[in-house]
Amino acid sequence: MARFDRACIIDDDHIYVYGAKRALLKTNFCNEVVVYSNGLEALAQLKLMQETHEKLPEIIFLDINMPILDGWQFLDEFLYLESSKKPIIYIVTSSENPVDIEKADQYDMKKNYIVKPISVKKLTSLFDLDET
Amino acid sequence: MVTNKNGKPIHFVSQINNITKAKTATKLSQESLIKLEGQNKRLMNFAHIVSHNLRSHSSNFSMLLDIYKVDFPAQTENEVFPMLVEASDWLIETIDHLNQVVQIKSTEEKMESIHLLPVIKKVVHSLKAEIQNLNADLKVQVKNNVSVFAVPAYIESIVINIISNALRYRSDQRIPQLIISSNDDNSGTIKILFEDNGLGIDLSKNGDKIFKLYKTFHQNAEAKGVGLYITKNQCESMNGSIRVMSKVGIGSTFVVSFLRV
Repeated sequence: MARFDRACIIDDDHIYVYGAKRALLKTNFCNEVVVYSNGLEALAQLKLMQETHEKLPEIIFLDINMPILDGWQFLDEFLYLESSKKPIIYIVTSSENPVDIEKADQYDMKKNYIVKPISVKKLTSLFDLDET
Repeated sequence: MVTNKNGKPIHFVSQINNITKAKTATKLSQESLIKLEGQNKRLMNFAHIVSHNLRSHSSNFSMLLDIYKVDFPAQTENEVFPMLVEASDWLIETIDHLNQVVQIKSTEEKMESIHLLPVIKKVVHSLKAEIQNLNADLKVQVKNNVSVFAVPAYIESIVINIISNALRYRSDQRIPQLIISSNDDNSGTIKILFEDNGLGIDLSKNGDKIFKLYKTFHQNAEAKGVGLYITKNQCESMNGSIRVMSKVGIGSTFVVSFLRV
């Protein structure tokens, strides 16, 4: 059985998305992955899900550097939304810039900061999964 | 003021010091501070690019190779695949190293006396395949006894970058030619000249852009506008400089100055 039903990736890098999605499904991490290519798109779609009482993703993998609405801006808006059950959010980025890590700490997300690449190996060790 | 016992002034004692030197020194150190702050800012900017842009591409490479190995195991049992993995691992490691180096915010990189000719020969050797493919005529006329005071990794990167640029921005009209020479005018610096017969750059239009970050002006998709920015910053961090002379359709000459040993 998958750990989560629905996971969400918010990232503008389609190569990364391809790999991450694959790894999530392969590790039986989730049954379904929804992908948004920037913060604004994600925000609009997640709001819509909420309004139509569709099940929100239980976990979100959020990139920082994105066009239109970046990861931080997404967080600013998303965390403000009224919701009974907030997804777990992980920041997944190639940035090891101390400024970004510091900023994650301000959002109390320092522990949820993953540096790319995401691999099957990394996922299994992070979430204690079995490779199938 | 010295007075007699009746309070009448008899002597006037004064001391005048010329503080021009001190004032000039203060001004100089303030100017250096501003310069240093600018350099530091550029360094952080560079660090950010290294940590993000380079990393995201290299981690995608490594991820795709992982996937490939799982999906097509039979096709990985050859000479090339392990080397691809190795190259990808090295790339990630190199970026990590660079990252660490820049994050120390150290402006005190380790400068040492470097024998110039072997460095240039090494770089030329590493670009051998490309030079041969293009049938390029590359002449190294650097004298054997020239040494400069520099950071080894930087000098190599500078030479690679300028030579690669010369090859990349060659003219289709003629056989690519590059002459690398050195010049010691006893002024405390050694100049290295890279003279090519490539496309050339319109300096009246692009002179201020050429060493800036993410500025490109040739119709070349490969150009990312990072190379010469890094080159310039590396030169300046070693108290050297770089400048360019160029004519469109004739070629470019890059002059890099290093501290003389």
